[in-house]
Amino acid sequence: MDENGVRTLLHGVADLEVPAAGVDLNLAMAGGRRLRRRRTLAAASSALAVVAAVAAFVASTVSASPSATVTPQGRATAAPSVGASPVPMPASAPDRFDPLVPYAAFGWLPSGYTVGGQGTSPASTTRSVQITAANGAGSEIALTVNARNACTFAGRSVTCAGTDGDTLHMEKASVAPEVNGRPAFWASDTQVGGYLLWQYAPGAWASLHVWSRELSPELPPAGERAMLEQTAARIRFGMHTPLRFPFWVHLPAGWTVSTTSFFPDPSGKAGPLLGRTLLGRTLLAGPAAGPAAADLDVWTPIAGNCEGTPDTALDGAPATLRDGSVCAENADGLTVYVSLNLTGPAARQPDSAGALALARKLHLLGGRVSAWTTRPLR
Amino acid sequence: MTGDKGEAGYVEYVSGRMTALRRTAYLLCQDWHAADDLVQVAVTRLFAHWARARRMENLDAYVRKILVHAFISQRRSAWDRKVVLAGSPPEASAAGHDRESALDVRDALLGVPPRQRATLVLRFYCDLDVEQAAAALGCSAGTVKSQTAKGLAAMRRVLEPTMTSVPSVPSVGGADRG
Repeated sequence: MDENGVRTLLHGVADLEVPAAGVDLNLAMAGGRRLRRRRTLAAASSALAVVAAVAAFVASTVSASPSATVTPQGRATAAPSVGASPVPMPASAPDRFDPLVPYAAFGWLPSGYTVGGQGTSPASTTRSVQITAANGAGSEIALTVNARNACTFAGRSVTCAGTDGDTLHMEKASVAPEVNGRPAFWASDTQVGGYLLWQYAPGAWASLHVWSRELSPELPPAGERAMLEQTAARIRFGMHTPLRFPFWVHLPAGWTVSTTSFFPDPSGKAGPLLGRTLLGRTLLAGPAAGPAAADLDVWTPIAGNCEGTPDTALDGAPATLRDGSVCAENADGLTVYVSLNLTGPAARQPDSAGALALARKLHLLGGRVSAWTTRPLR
Repeated sequence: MTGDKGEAGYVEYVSGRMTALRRTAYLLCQDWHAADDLVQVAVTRLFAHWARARRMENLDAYVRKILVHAFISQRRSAWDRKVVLAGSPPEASAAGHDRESALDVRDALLGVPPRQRATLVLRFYCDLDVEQAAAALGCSAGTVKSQTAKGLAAMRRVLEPTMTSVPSVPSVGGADRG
């Protein structure tokens, strides 16, 4: 069978009678608007961080004593400092993480890399913590810390299961230098390229890789390998800093949080994430059958975030109902976006009224971070 | 995206390409329901980027790229690790020999790893040349050539015994790498 034979066969299959379309363009546009909104939020969060970074840099330049070790906000030092020496690995890791308390953090980053800026949004789920640091020149270092038993090995193949069906497949390529005495490998997948994969606790694995505009080779170049090894050795595990949210809410019985996204407080002290207040932005929650049924996204005011003409009110502020979501740009000093997407027979039916009802249950805490809470669910 | 004019343009574009997109997705997924889910994902992403996408010189190529990336990325998830039954009936109506041939080809495609399958579909159904397929897949021309050769070999392994009246080979779903 030659190429023409395959061409004929493929056309023969595809050109059979096509059944009625099961694609819903209204649903696609609703989902597309949500994606666009997320990009807007990420960009706005980045801008907020940049403004605060400049302010903090100016403040530290003006006021710091000659012995001060404060670096520009959110920036890592050029080389690991004494305080960022390799850290002991944990004796054990949990099977499930608490998304409200991100389990891991960068302890050091190469010069120029920032967490929480450049449109990156750290996320914490029950099965993994994902934190990306970007350098503003198109390069990102992505950390994924998996819960115990989330990764399985079959020969050279490695599969790490995330939350809600998200799975990463890699192939082990070669043995890497141990990370703080724990086994490590260079691994790769067909989409991203090379990873440094290491066991940070018995049965628990973490990975680091560099995203860039080009697909990384299976084995990163030597300089990049050294940087990843250095970064991996300083990852902090078992962190206890809870996220602070600008709201609290009573959720239905049996609902749990599956995912959060968060940012380091841009007005906090320097450091990749350590010692900084972590601000929760998005919280996904739901019943066991749909752990991401509700998307509660509350953040500082963002003009132009809500599309459409306001047709209702939330805490006295104009709000827009659209495709199973409600959006208000300035309710009690906050942008509020709530969407509801329950699973089951009604999954494809947008429930804007349900989203509005849920949004009205939110107790909004205003735009001052000092008033935000580490207990968003009560 | 600015207002309803943009949305009307999107609806017009996607409606006009829907059949072609669904056929391409069907060749990738070998299941109409999965194909429609894939197209749903692709057109959702397209809408999110419509303001920029609508000004592209080759919008069809961009949409094809979204579709193929969505397909490959879904194959990497647990979502895809369902068992595909070799004997399941085709959703599209077809009669006699055509239907049997379609089933054989479908089984053969299911035995081809996703990235190789995507390469074959782009090269021999969408009629892209090596460079165009490389752009759609986000890889080098050399990779397209090797994936094409491997994909063709995989199809031959399944189809050529069938073509000589040997009982059909059970299909293999998921758990593969391109």
